Amino acid sequence: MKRGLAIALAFSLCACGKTREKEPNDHFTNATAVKPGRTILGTMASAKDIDVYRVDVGQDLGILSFHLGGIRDVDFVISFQDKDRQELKRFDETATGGDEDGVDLGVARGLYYLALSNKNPKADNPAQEYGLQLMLSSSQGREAEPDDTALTASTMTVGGVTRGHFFPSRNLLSSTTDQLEEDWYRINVDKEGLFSLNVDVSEVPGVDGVMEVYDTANFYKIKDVDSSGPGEPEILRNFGVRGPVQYLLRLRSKTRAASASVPYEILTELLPYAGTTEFEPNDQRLDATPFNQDSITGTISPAGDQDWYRIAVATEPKQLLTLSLAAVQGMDLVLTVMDDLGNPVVVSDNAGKEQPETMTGLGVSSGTWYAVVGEKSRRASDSRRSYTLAKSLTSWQPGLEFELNNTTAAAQAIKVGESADGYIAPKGDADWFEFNVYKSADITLDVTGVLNVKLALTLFDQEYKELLAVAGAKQGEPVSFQRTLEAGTYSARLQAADAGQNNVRDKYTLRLRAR
Amino acid sequence: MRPLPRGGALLAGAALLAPLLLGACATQKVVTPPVVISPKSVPEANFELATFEVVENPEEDTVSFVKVFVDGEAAGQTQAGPKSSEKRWQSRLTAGNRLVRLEAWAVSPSGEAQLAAGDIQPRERFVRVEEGQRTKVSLKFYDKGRKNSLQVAREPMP
Repeated sequence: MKRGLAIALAFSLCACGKTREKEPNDHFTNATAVKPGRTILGTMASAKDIDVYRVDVGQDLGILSFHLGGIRDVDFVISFQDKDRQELKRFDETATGGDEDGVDLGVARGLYYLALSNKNPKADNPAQEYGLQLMLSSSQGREAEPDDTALTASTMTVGGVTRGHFFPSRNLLSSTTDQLEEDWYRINVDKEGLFSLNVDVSEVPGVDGVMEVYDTANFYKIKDVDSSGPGEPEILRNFGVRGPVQYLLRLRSKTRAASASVPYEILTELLPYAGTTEFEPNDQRLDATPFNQDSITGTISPAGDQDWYRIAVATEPKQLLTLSLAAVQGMDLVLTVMDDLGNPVVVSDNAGKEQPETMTGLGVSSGTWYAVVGEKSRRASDSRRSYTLAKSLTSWQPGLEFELNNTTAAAQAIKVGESADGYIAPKGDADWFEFNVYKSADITLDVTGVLNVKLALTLFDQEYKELLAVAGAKQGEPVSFQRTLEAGTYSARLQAADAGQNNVRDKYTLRLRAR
Repeated sequence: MRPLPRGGALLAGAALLAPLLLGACATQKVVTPPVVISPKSVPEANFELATFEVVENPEEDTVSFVKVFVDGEAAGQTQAGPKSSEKRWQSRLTAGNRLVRLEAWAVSPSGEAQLAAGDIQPRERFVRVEEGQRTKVSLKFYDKGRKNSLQVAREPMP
């Protein structure tokens, strides 16, 4: 009885876990059959020995991975092939004696081959056994190699998590000189409508990941995200999607850093577009995000990102457009307003890093304008921190400045006895006012002081010859002149004595009187 | 009355029908472009106004003209013509700093003259007229007529 039990135990131990290679197995016709979930033991009989294993996958879809323990003298190269011996992936990450790993190999029901060979011509270790472990897991939410080109992209489920690896460090089957290893994913949005797509790729220690989005029609790169450094996540926010549509996502490591042990996780989120966020890509006039609400948020990512917003002014009477851009940590934001052809009209770069920007009332009537948000150095980017751009359109009233009045040709009309409120903003602003004196009179023009600005006021005759110039004693001081003027047309130019001074918060009041 | 011979009857019928047929074919309106009248040349004019508008498409190129007021009194007007064409007015004015007001008018398809809206009219301003010099005022309308720019130049009289 005891002997029978011992024999039965021995059989059961032999049956589970380990398989031995059956030489000769150096060709697919005599490959050793193995099943996933087992460890295969074998030896390299000579430096030129090749061991071929036939893997029979018994399920519809799965992800195969392996671990090959290194042995002395042998520099392993593993080739993963399909049933027709077409090589799908090749692994050679380590040198002589090193372990080799293979991960994320997409398989379907049927046969595959693993061919082990040696690169070291001096290898002479026929006695030591290597162990090759094979694992098969579910393909749900997994990268499926080979996915090294757009045509072989893995499928990604939007709204879920997909796991993959920045591995191997090189695509040894690539014909290009750099043999870049990259992972392509196909994103499918089946629903109709406008959506915002958010994509988060988790960090992998030591790996500086780059994420790119391509269209499927022409494989044009639409967006690239590389905001962070090694060991940090990459985040894409507010990518505008007009469903139904497909996009391609390309992930790669910027250097040859790779990790077979730590996967990246891609988390995708598809949200209905509410018009309160930017609709990327909006990097040029033609792709500008419609800015219909009172405020909109966006992010500066990648470095050099420029976000265009379209502002449609529908009504004919004159209006004043005001824009406010909130500060973002680590960034010096610049706000530019463009006309309908994309020519810059106003550049608001009054403040420094981590400070808000404001464009005080720009005079507009019906037409299209663009607000463009960018980062001054074009080097900063952060997809985790968003800015808020707010706008207001108010009716213009007489007595208010109507920019642009920065030139003699655009001088704002004012009559003797009237006043006008305006801003010395943005930096370098000059406000021109034009008035008529119908009969000789003592004319007084005075301007209230503005905080942080030393005012300079110049009077010109109708041929724009300078008649007089006055300046405030110091910042915040008012300025004025009084002079007898003959009948004629005159212009007054008001600006900061120092072009760098400006004030977007406090208005001046300019008053024109006659005695 | 002698009856017409057979051939003559056919001809007579055709003659009766022809106007009807021609009338039926005349379904397409023929649009005659406005006649551009050359401005009256004023001998020894020392003041000249030239005005035109930048139009974005042919549909906007309707007829317009500008009236000129000097020192509060009507002094004349340019010829009427398409907005994009240059319209002129010349006169001999007394030297001095003259208050000039230019008034933009549009001509409707029916030929009725309509004063343009007040907020797009050029501002009145003083223009100096000097002895021995011809003062040339150039008035340009743009941005669908919402904006205008005025330039004054002088050259010696020929």
